[in-house]
Amino acid sequence: MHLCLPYLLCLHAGKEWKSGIYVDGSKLNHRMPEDETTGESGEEREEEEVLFGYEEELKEAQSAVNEYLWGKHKNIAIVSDPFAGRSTLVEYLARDYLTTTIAFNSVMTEKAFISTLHDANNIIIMDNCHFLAMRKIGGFAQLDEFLRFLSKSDKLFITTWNTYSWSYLSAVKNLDEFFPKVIRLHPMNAESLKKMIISHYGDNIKYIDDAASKDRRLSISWKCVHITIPFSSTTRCLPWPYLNLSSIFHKKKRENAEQLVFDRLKRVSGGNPGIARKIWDASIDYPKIGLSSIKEPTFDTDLSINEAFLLGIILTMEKIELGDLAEIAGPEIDVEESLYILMNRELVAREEGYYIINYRALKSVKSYLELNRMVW
Amino acid sequence: MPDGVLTNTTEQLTTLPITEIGVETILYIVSIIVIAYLLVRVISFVLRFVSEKIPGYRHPITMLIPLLKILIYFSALYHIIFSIFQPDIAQLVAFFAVFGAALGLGLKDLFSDIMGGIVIIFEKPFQIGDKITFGSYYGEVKDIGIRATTLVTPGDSLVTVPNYLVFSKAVSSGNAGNVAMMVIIDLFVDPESDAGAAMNILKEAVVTSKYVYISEKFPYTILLDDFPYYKRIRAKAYVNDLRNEFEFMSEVTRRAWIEYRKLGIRPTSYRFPEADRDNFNSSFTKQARQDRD
Repeated sequence: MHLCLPYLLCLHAGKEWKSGIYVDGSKLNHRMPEDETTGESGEEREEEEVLFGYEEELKEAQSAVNEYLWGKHKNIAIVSDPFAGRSTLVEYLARDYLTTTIAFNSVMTEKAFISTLHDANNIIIMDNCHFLAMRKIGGFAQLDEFLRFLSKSDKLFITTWNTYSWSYLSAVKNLDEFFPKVIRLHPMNAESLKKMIISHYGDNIKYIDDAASKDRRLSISWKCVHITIPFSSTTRCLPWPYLNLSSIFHKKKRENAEQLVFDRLKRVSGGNPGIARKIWDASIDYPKIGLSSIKEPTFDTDLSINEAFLLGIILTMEKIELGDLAEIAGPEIDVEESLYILMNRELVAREEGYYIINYRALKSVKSYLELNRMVW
Repeated sequence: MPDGVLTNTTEQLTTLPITEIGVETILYIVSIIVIAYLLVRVISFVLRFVSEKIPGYRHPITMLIPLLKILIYFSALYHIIFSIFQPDIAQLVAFFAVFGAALGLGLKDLFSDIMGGIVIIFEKPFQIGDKITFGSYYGEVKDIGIRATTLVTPGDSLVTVPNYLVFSKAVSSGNAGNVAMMVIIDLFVDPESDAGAAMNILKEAVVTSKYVYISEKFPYTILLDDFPYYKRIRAKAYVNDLRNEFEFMSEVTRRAWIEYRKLGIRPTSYRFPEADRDNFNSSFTKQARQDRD
């Protein structure tokens, strides 16, 4: 399986890929990437090229690669939350330059991938590098080996990382010293999400404002009172807060349904394009989408330290097998029992043998773990 | 106090318009006391509840409790005084002068405690939720009252320390208002052991712990000290919540020793003197160690 979610940000995924090596655990698969939704190979896709929301980040990455070609060497780290589409971003880079791509798909337990790096092109794309480290004693061997290779190499490494893995490994292994160019994929605003969604579904969607008064919120704005200063002809603006009650009493004055839908989509997804897309797919009754169909779920996140720790590991690794989780947890934690609780609360889901964060719960999980300093 | 001033003050007080103290006044005073007490309890409960839900802001929220306590109790006192005396400003000043003198003479200790409480609230040498050494006690600050501060020791004993001690005893706070706190973990290994490997394992045990918190502001360090009969491998790292201090030490120590045994790193065979026995193969908080050293 290829981790990239190509449909999130682009409608085209690189017919000009020069080479692709996809790594699943210790196995190396030399093949072209596959679109996980369609099964098409990268060579077969010839749809229109579109990238939404992260145009600036792509330009930044391209500029760093061009600088390398002119002799200024700065390894690149592309950092984002799960589902945010970093793999798609590097696919774009791979089309424009002669590269070798290595995409990790699960925790790496062997150093075999290092030998591949020797024969690789000068620009190496390494996707999902957080799979190189495990949070356990002796769990950094692959990462150490990679960093040793990288520090002696003249090649340019374009790597992608989970946000929390990146922060953790930067604190523990000074990762940021090895990758001076850090490109973070920030949450998208409602406008970018709208462009991305419309590009996929077309603009003939019918938006319905059927939500309860929950979205008719009170708003406070600043009004200006003009005051003439005594003994002077100058007039100054004195700002004062104005409580807007019209949104409650006058339904006609509400924003249009389309704007409300995308505002809510942005709020529920946290601006994460992959999650927004999944929520959209689950909410739309084509060609209609109602405001009330985009639900904002709540989750019970009152967890024990062991459950919170496992949840944090799943968040930072993005997908992990039971065996790897058990190794990290050690004998102190009953992994299966904790996973049962996490799944029961719909914080974690099981997909193809891997444990992943339930995309709807990602926002709540992040917020809970950050507040409790289980991730940072 | 000069005679003239004393005479004036006495005159002011003797002319205080004392209202007739009837059942109504007594009920009024009792209800003020009850309301103030209930208000303090409710506010404390609500703020504690909220602070537990937002661990990152636990300290700032709980520090409102003693401040509100003082405000409520002083305003209750104010209302009680006015319900009895109904003084004007001059008389009120005179009253507090005499009241202060009485406190200074007869209730000196209580007054010192109250002043200590005020100093603690405003100067913040520690806050509710901090792990501190106050006098000879070490524990988590549960409450800062008007008269005394309550600590919960690692043995779960509740210790009430008079607030006046803040004037005379050094207070050390391990976290100074932060939820994260530095913890020191010592492992004592045989002097023939591979110190480099031992340090590396302890480092990995620390950084992979479920209790650790690492950032630029909260770094970790691994240190080696070479003694004649043993090597001490010391880790300094921050626990994500000071309430997990001992669990953090225990978890890191256990995991490190499992790996040490795999590599043949043995504990020292040196027998520590009785007084230092609890030092051996165990860990101490920064504060406790500073106290001991």
